[in-house]
Amino acid sequence: MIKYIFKRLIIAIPTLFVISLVTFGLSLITPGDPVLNKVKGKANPDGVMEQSGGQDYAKVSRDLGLDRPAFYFMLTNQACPDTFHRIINKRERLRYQELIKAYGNWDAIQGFDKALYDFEVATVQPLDGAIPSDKRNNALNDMSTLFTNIRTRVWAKDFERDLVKMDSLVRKTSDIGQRTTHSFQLDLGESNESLDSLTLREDLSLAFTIHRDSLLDEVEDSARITEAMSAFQKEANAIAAYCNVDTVSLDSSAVVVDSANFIELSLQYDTSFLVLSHLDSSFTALERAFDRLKTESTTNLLYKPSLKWYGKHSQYHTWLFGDAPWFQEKHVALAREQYNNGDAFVVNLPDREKSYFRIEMWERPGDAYDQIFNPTSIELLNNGYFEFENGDTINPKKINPAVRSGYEWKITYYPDYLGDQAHWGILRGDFGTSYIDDQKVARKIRVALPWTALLNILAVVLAYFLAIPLGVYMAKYQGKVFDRATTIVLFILYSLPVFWVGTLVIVFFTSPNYGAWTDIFPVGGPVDLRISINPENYSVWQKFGSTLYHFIAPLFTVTIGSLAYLAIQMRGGVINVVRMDFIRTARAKGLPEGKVLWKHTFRNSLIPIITLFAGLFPLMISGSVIIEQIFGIPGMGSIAFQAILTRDYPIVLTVLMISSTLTIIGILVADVIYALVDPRISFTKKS
Amino acid sequence: MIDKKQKNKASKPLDQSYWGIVKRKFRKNIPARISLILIAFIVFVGVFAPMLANDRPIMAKTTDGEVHWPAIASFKASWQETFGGKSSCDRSEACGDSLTVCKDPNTCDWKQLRTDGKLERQVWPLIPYSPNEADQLNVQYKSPKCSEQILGKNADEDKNNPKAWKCHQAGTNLRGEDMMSRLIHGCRIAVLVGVISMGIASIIGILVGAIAGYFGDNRLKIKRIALLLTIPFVILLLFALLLWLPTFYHQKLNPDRFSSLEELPNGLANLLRIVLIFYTFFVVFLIPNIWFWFRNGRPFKVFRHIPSIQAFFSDENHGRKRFWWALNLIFLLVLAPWLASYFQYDVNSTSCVKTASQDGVWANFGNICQLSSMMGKLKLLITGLVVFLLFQIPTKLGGLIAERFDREHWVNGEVNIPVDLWISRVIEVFISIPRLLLILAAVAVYQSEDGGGGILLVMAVIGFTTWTRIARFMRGELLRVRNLEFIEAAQALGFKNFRIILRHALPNALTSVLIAIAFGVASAILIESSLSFLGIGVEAETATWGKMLADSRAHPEGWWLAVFPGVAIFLTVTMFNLLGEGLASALDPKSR
Repeated sequence: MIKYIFKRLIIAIPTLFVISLVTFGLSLITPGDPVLNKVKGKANPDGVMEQSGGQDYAKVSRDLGLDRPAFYFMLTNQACPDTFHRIINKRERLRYQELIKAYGNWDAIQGFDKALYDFEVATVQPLDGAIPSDKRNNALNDMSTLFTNIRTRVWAKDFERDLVKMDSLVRKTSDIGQRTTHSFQLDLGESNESLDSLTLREDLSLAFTIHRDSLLDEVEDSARITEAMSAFQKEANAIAAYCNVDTVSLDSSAVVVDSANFIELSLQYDTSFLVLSHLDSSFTALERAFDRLKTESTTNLLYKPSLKWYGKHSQYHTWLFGDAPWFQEKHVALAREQYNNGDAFVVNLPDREKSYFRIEMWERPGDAYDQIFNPTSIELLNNGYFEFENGDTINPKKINPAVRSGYEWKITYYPDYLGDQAHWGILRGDFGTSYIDDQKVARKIRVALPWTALLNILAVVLAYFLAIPLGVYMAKYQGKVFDRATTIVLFILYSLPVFWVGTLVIVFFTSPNYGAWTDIFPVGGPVDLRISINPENYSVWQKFGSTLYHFIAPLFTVTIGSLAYLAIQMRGGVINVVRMDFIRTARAKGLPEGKVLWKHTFRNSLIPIITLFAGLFPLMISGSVIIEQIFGIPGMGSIAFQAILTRDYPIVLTVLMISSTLTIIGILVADVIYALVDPRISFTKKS
Repeated sequence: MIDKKQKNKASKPLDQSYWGIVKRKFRKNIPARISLILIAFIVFVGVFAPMLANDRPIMAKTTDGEVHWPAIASFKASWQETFGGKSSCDRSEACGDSLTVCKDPNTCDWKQLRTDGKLERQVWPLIPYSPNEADQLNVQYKSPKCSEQILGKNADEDKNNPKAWKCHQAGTNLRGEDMMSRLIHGCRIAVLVGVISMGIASIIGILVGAIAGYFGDNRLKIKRIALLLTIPFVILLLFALLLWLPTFYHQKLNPDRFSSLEELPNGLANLLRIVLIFYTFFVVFLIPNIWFWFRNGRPFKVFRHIPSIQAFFSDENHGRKRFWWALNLIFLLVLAPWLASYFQYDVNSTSCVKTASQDGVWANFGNICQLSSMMGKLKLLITGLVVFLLFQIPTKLGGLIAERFDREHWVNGEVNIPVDLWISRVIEVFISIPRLLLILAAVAVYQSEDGGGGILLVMAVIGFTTWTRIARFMRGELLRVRNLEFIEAAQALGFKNFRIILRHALPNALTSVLIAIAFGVASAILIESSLSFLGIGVEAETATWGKMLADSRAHPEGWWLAVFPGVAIFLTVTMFNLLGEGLASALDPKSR
């Protein structure tokens, strides 16, 4: 027997391995980028990181462990570089994959991309001493759309189309960089000190400022400039006439002789309206890189297979086994006591120069480890890891000034640095961190599991307690009206979809819509709202009672289906056994009917019911998705469903793995009980 | 009376064959018979849903004297919509004053025409509402009270209960969509999901289960050398599937290749397509024919053999081989590029020649982008040949080596392959993962970003995750059948294993799988409706029972929202369960 169990457990290991592969594979092909979602949610809701090497993005993807290769090995072509997984941005990675498939020359692709990046940087850089021009801004805007376009392209033909457009933006005009100055000089004659001349100066300057703005707008069109100039001249003449000044000559070629006699109003403008000429050199580099991409494509490399080995540094390995060493020198807790202001800890490790310390502090002594989420805790800084040399003094107050006396503190010494975030792997109980809210998955499951377990255990117990006597009595009165009526009712109950029953209960029995007496059950959630808001004010029994009250409707819904199925199976089992010879013998012996039924028949007819118990495990967990959704119970099914919707894969993977493991164990347990109940079944081989 | 019975018996002796007995037993089972009739009814309703519930008349004669059949005309379009095709009904263009303005009867608002008195004679469907047609007079959950709405005569009552043209027998939902119409159109989804997903599941399940059951753990023996040679071949195949074919098809999408075709006029493109069709015909039929002629001295009359599949599979004429050749080539030449066209990179539209017939399911079929270049065609052919030749390598080489080293044990020794063990492990893996969660995750993964993955996706996912049950049934049945005498006789006659499986073992084991399929259809319908109940999978505008039920949670006063779709699901599932039970008892040889 033990040998059999052992053998079954050994067989279960590869099965679990394949399950983990399947679920992990599912998570790899999910569309969308979890890192991007997280960065977006964190930094600024609408600002997307434009640059590929963004600090946040890199950090988040490193924290999530997504900067690693996916699996132990990869079968690719030789064109794909070894370090392809280091491109952390998922969108970019997909783009590079397409590019590699199109050209097969990684160097050239990189060169092209670098040239593109340099070119973009050059366009973004502000131009010194340039006069602002709408046209140039428009050109730059066009350019930036071209950059976004070109980043979605793959084929040379499409690249060319964009590059031609860029070329036209950069090199369209021939009169590049001419700077023209118009000086308007005003001969004020002799009356330079008079009131009139002062007014004139002011008026002229004002008129000029007005015109200057319009002139700057029109700098591209020389005809318009001339027009504007003559308009200005006319106006200036009018002003001069009004102020008794003889002539105002506007002469662009005049030389300033004496500043006292002249008013000089100068207008400078750029005649080159495509002022992107400074980009010429970087654009040439881009073109050269593109030529290289086109001419030096090595598509033949795409057909040459290459196996790339990443080993333990893969996402899968980390997820399963973790990257923290298994047999490392054990970390040692060095101090754990009340903290008093000014306390410090002197590092004294004779055989080491440098070590890593994890400093944890709790506000209230005796708090559980959960307090690491307390914002006053030191843990949050640097993930709690600090590097100290031998002889250093660890002063918590220095690390976090919020620390007060009365804290409990603990310093753990780690011989090896485990990185920013060491993964312990699901085999060591580290299920990872949720992509959505940064909570540990284990913690979320610890909160959710009791609800599901409570609901399902209650349901199973209830179903078995009701189904077994029902089935037995149905078999006892086989063929009678009771049996036939119950069979039909049970068949109908079995066919009822769970979600329909749940919906009907919600619709008809949670609101007074159909008469006052129909408002029987509470609406949703596992406990009363007032209890969940103020849990301290209520006793354990009050909470338990509230939960039970809230569980009546879901329990009813869950139990109906399994009850019907179990009762039908029980009836079949008993009927099969009743036909057998030993029952006839028991009756012939003159045993009372009750004893025949319960002692002889019942025990032997339990077998089908027991095998069903194994089948109930997966049904319980996946079935609870719907039940928990309908009745608003925050259990496993509920968090799994939410995680699937939000593509929060650490949770999905964990739930899938846990429930698969439970199923396998359930099957095994059923087999074992099978042998225990029925002495005819044995798993040891007879020779 | 007695005479009559005796006469009947005398004239028609009871069929004592297996199927005759089964038929009689099934007829005696009244619930199963009723459920079979009801299932037929549901299928009928599902197929002809647009004729039963539509916002267009079945027949309409306008005052101009034109006769239209709009509901029947929309039949094809509604099926296209079911499979995610684009809706051809766009009611944005209002119908003008006369019907001549409304050129396309599909886009016409027939109800407006009716109220305007433009219709001389009209025959409306039973439910004159479409599933997605919002009846503006009856928005916000109107209960199915036909009498009130029709009898409401005075103005006040009309205000409270706005009159509909025809009452909503099952009420309306938030948007004023007729629930009855939605129920009728939901039938189609349910039936389709049941049939297609179980089709997929039974194809996989029967094949896998048959192989596991027939060979068991000790009957598949391969010569050691063949096994050794298969390993590099499998690696090659892996390379081909993972590396070469994707790269090849990706390279085929390079628009630079088609630069010369860019300015091709439509006529020329069509010409090219015709040439291609002839070319395909040439490759598929003529070359093998000529080859046959050379070898056998007489032409192989393809068309004579097509009606009889038996002849195609007979060993005489090597018809079987050629049939597989032809299938291979058809796949390589037509299906593969066509399939590949669905996975294409978003090629800029100007680099392809768009032809007139480019909408609907067959949009990409024969698209000049994919099928134009002769060179590409030839390359495909060469790939096919290479793959075929690669297939030949291990067997031929193995044969050569086996001949040469006849006595050596390491060559001719046989290796036992425990197929059953491996397949059972795979089935165990599938069983261990909670099915609904797996389906949810898979559908969510493949769902497009806007939330719609289409009903086909749901069907495929259900099919690919529920085949294990059928496989287990099949395996158990074949484990029994393989020890029967007729199988041994077939083996003694020297038939090949796959022939025995296909023609001797499977037909005798399929009956029990029928039961599993009947139950499987019920569970597939249940899974689909729970998926749409959770709001995953099917597009937002498709009317399914599960989604209707989900709507009811938002509005508990509307009992009709919860009751009718639930009853529909319940009845359908129960019918299929009853059918399964009936089949099980009828097919069971023990119960008479």
